[in-house]
Amino acid sequence: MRRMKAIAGDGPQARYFGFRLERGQPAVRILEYVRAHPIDLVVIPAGGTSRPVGSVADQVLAEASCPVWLDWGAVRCRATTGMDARRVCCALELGECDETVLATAEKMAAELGAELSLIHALPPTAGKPPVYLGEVGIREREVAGAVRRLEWASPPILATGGGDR
Amino acid sequence: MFTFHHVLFPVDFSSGCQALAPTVRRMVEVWSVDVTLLHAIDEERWLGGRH
Repeated sequence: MRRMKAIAGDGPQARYFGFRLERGQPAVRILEYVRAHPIDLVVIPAGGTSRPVGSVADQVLAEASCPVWLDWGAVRCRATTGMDARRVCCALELGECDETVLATAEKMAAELGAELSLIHALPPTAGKPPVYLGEVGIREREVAGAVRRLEWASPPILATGGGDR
Repeated sequence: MFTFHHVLFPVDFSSGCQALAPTVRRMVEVWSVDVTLLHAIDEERWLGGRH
């Protein structure tokens, strides 16, 4: 408990912190807590040592019913005291959930004064050999189509220059 | 105003977790959100029952 109070700090913000000790597998307990309480956001370090995302963060990201702030900066900047969020990366699937995800990311970035980047990954085309992805003309058309969908999904941000492409 | 009210910050006291703490405190300052720090003790792992 002493170590958790140290994380909360002793400033005026400390009164906003509550503490909970659970027994069991961390990912299972975290997900149970999220289901049982009105949690709006889970903030968790990526935590991987041998791979980019640790097993706990990976399971929480996959199964949590609320937004998850997965933080790699905490790992990279572990020696930097007073680190603040400077960049927020929003991954869009160019689907029906994008509007909510994008609005949330935009608010988070704006209120933290962080730079917002939008990212969309093109999946490999099923049934096509790998060389297909190397064919410049076809690939460029795929990229152009994705950019158009991204612009359609995020006109307010792109119009104000608030996002990266 | 931001619509988040309750943030869950699972902690394992790792270096990544310690480094993320200032960001969480900043969230409290900016958004006035309640934060629950949750620490899960995996006794089975510590006792050697699972790796």
